[in-house]
Amino acid sequence: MNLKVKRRKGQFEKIYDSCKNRIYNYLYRMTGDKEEAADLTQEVFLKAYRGLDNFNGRADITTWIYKIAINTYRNILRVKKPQITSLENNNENEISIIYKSIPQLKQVEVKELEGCMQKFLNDLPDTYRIPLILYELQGLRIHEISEIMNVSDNNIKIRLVRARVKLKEIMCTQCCYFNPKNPCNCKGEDWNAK
Amino acid sequence: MNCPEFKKLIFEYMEKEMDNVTKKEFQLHLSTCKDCERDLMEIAKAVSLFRRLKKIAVPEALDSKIQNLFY
Repeated sequence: MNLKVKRRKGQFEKIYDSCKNRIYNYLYRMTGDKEEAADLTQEVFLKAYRGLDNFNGRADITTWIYKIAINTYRNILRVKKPQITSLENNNENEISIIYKSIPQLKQVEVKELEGCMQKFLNDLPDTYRIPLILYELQGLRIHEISEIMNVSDNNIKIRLVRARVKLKEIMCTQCCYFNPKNPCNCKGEDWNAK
Repeated sequence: MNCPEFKKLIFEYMEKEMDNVTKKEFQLHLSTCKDCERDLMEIAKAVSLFRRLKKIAVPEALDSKIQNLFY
């Protein structure tokens, strides 16, 4: 193995180890399917490996990998998934009190919620879903997401506001944790296992 | 502060990105408008439930496959 290849493999190993779980989780939430997420994750890292020579180091490595993940998802699943295009849309402690007022869920309920929540997420258009996953689940900051998605910080903030409102609207009509009269879509089944 | 202004600021309030003057106006409206109070509560609840989605680790089979391919 020549020195260049050895160096490239070492560089790739570091990138893979630091990003693999985040990328897999991102793709899992985008697809709602573990197998598809695994296939896409492999594709993302294959592209990353091939593109290492072109990575100029000016961008953050995480940003670069997320960009590859977003493009890979778009390219591969564009045909498979119908796109929704018609959506329009201190007391420092007060918000904490609001969060605390939300009842704690038992383990079994969390399992049920997992299936329903993924369905609600699937109902959002990608323009909202991508920033929502990156911000709420992956803990990225607004400026990081704006760099990944090539839009302004303000644009990401607007998308997050709309994504939260849309998620709330869906849950108000479909989630039994919002209204016990709402039918629970997953009825307690583990949707991930399907 | 009126209802549309309140709704525009919900994100800043939840993320604690609000200056003190705006926060007082926001909270004043919150204490007097039941509709906006319900709106904020429901959004906070939706976000809180959403954040409980679990993280999963890369499957071992995939991990081995990638390591065999590239390491």
